[in-house]
Amino acid sequence: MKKFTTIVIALLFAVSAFSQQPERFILKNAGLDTISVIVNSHFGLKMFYPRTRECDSLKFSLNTDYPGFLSEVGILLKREGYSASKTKGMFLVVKGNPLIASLPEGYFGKPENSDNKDNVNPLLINGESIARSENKIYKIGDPNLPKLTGRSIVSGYVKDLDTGEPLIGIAVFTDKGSTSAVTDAYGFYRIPLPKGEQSLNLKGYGMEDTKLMLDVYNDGTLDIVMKEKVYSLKGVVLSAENTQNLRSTQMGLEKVRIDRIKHIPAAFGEADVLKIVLTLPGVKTVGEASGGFNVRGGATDQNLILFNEGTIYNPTHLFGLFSAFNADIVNDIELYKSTIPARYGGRISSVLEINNRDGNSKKITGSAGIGLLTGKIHLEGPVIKDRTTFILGARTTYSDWILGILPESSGYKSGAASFHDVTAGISHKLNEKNTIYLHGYYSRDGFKFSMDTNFNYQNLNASIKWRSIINEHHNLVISSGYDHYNYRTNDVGNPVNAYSMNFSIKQGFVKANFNWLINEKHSVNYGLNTVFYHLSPGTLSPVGEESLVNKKILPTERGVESAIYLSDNWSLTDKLSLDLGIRYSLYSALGEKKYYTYYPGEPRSESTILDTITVAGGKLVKPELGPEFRFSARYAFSNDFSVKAGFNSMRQNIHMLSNTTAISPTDTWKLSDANIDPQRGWQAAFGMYGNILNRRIEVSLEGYYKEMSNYLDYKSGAIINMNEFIERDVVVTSGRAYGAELMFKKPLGKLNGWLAYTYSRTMLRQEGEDRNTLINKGDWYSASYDKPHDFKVVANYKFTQRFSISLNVDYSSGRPVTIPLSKYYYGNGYRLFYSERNAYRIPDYFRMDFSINIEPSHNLKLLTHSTITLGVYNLTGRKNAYSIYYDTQSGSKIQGYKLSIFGAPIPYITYNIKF
Amino acid sequence: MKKIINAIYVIAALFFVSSCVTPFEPEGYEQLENILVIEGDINLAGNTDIIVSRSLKLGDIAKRNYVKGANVWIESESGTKYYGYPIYSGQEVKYSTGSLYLDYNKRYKLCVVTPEGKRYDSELVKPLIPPPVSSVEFLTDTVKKEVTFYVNTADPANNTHYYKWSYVEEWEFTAHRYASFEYNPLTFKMDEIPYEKNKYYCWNSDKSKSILIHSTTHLSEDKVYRMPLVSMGPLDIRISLLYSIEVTQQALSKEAYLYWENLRKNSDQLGGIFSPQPSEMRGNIKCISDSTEVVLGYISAGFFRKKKFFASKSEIGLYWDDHSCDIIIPEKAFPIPIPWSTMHEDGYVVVSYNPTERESVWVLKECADCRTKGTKTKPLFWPTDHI
Repeated sequence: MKKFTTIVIALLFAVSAFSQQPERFILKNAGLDTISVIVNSHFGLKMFYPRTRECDSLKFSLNTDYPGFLSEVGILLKREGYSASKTKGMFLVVKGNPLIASLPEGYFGKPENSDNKDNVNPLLINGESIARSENKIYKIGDPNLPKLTGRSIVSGYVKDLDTGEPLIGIAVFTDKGSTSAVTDAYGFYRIPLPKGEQSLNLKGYGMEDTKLMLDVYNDGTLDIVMKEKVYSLKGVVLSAENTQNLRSTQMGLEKVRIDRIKHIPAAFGEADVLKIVLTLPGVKTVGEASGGFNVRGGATDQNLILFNEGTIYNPTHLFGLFSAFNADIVNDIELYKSTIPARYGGRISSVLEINNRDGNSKKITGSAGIGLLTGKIHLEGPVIKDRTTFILGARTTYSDWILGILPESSGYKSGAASFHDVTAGISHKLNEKNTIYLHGYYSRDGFKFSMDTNFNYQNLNASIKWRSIINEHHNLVISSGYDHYNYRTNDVGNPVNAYSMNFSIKQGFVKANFNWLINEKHSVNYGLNTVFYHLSPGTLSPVGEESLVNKKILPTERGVESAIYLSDNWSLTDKLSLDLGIRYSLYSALGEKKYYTYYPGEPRSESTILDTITVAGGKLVKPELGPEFRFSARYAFSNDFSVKAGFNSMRQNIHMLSNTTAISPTDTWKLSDANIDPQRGWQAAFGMYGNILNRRIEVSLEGYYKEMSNYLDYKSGAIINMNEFIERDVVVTSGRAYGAELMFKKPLGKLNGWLAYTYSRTMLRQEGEDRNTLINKGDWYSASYDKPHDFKVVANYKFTQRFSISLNVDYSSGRPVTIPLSKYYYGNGYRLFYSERNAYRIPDYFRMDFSINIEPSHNLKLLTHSTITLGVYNLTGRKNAYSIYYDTQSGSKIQGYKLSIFGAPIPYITYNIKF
Repeated sequence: MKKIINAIYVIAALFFVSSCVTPFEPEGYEQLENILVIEGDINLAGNTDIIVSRSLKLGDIAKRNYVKGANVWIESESGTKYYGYPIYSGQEVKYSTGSLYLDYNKRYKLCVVTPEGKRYDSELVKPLIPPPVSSVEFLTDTVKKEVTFYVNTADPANNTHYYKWSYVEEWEFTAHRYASFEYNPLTFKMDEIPYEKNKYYCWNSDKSKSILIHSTTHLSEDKVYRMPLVSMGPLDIRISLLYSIEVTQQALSKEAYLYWENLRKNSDQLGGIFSPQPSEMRGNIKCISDSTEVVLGYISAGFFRKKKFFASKSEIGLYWDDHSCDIIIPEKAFPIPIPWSTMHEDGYVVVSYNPTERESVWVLKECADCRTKGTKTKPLFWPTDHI
């Protein structure tokens, strides 16, 4: 569903993608497999050649123009004792003399890469609904109907032959290049095809290319299975993926496949879903091992983190050391940082969508792994073969040993820190057109600092999703779920002050999303979302008989956020396409609620209360409604160069209350109400996208300008926890951000990865009547995550399929901090007078990580596969400043100190086993 | 909540096994000095000391940059002025009003005119009367090997809510060894030390440096139970013989409490990503001619309640005399005897001397001369008869 936009765009704009041919082909040591790909995609010919060892070892180098390619190949083959002939859509290579080209199809058996005997026989399940054989003509529609001209819609699922899992992002296109599509998150594709005989090509990352012969009579369905590529092609690879960035109107979308994550070196060797996000351009964090991230100048609470549709409020374990998602379960990650599709709303900066995999539908498999701090296991498989699958993953930590090695006097020896998370998914195929998905997620972190003090937090999400194909042109996804986040702190050290504090947020949601392919020019996405919020901002309770703590329960906050949306992907010409989206949202805090109004123009305080207003249960407190616009446009100058522009506006009705630099586990959230306005933001962006070096490298340059308003900051001395009248302590802040992101990406090949440079600035300004009380007197100041220069490299080099190395480089300007400018002696001690907010920067940040990934057994027949990762985090051992602080206790000279975490190279080893 | 955040910070840091701290001097920014600092809470019953100073650069070794020659007075809301007179001691100066008995139904402000002629006024503040200190006590934690002194108080009228404490601590201690002789480097002889001039008993004192404040607004009674003041470990000399702590208790207004709370947050180790952002909060003193000028300090008014508490080594039961005071007998040194003058120059002092056998016992100076860690000035009202 989420990739639907992409499908349609691809479908409409691939028209030209395969019609223009490269001028020259330059191949070095290319095998026949490579040549067959070129023959296939550039000449529309199916190449058949003998699958012998001798044939496989043939290597050719050539440099020829387009028309001379086939004859050049023929000449080279002849030298090796083969002959090539071209006939009726085929390019035949045989040993010895040319063949008479009138043999029936299928005579040569499975033509491409059939190193496995099983593939020789066409695999047909459910009649002809699953297509595997490349040598058979599949009839779509009723052959008895009179053949008509025009187009028919063919749709279906693309799945992995071995596991039955849906394959995502597979390019589906015709030989003649007239149309193309890309499979969505469910492996679903939909492509308009001219009636008559067609050949349909499928290409995808890591999968064998597939070509099917179709005879299209009418609209119909066709499910296709593809086989995983076991060895990598050498030489030139022409990838359909490379052109996605050019075809889509989507800007600022970063997709990361999970196999990429597993190769990125990480602290403690834990493959981490959120850490990979930090390697993308435009994403920053205030410090390593901190939980939140900032996208294009947005605050940490302005990112919508969706895990299987559910909202995750605290995505980290151990204060940000690990992300709360199990990498073995995750399928893919998508970060929308610029053009946010109309179906998303509720946050003003970005949307991070993380999805589970579907379980293996053929057999039960799983994996287990151990690292320095965590252990994990996952299991998946069919419940009812080809109909119902499950996937289940769990992680836990055994980090207590770190506390155990502390000296007794530290006071934390008796402490404990633990976390675990469980993810579960079930998918059930009701019939060809309807599938039901169930998802569950639970994570818990618990900390015990001493006998008296403990702290814990939980995430809980559950959702159900129904996906249905209404007809050939129309499908829908309806989901509903419940999200929960809470934390509790207990401090019982002092019997009189012993307390327990709770915070919780609960939300229920319903989402309905429809995709409608009207015709070749228009593809429409529409639907509605509703979220009900139920927030308990704080409950303070006494603990024990002696406690004098007053039980205090802040009134529950309720809110409803509803939106309807409509977006049209409209391709005016082959070159120009538009995505026009509008989202009309309604938000209101809900009664029962009592609130104060204040004298306008006066600072809000107890003494400026004007009136008390009581809103009855279920009534709207202060409805906020209005449109949000999501526009983007693309103009393709050629197949290898396009420009895009976009504008979007967003609203956010929930605020994180925090005055710390990073997300702290004790941060609470607050709904907008009569006194706290929703946050708003808009972003305008422009980008240029191109492919260079024979489409091996994607280049993109995106620039943006963004404004935010009604972001909350705090007055000096503000009380954030358990404050019923937070509106009296907040200062409304507005922000502006701009930047440019340059990225080079090589998605495929032995050497793959990306290199990104970002220049960006983020400035904030407090708004208020009395300039003297405002941060920096109401002038612009740098946000804590304003790091202008940012350079990132993520690279992986595969020596063989079993052995690869990965390198990760991260450089950025130091983050702004507030430092003392002057000292004075007051109240019998040295006190510090601080600079304006964030007036200074800590030193620049640089880190390089390295890892070696070894898969000792790579035989498909083996029952278990193990992988070992050896790595070093912070290879150069640079002592990056994490924080700066000043010691006022020891002497009259105030000394500054720099704290470095990970201030030395950290080696690690992890062992994972797949079964 | 602060405790939880601190603990989170500590635990988080633990996972960063290779974390390290290095001195750091930020470059490329201008430090400030000469911001006016006015300190001195108005005492309704007694002397009020007012200190006017200017802030210094961080690296300056001076404690304060005193402003001399200022004109300082307390002014009541009806206009009565009570002047403070400068008292100099070395480079330091404070302005003292002498004993005053002020009407606690009136509001007061503090006014300062600097030698440059600029006038600074605090807001009129209402005097606050705190309840007396209920008790001062200590608890010894044998697991953490730590003794902590606490203050307890309660306001039955449920009126105070915001408290601030400071303390003066004094302690008596001894040298590790009693020295009955002293080497005279002029005469090269051993002089006997009379008991009145012993170097064995000494005293020292200190003041609270931390900001000790507490609020009871979240409690059903206006009661402070075991507010920690100071903690000491087993090697702390303060608890080696007799320790005394005199606690001064004062009531704060909500605004004053928020000011001190902000100052406390700014003084604690900031800069961690879980720490709040430091921010400057305006006090209640303004420059009359330029209201935008930053003036540091917050003036409160009221009574000060005091309570003094003694605790001996045996009551606390934690002190562990961990010294390395090896004795040297220079006459018996191998291969040749060491002259007394060399011992003296090397920082040793004699503790005993047997004139008949001409044999002396020496130790390092800090082992036998308590004046290395204190003074011979005995505090007033000290319960022991040592001199």
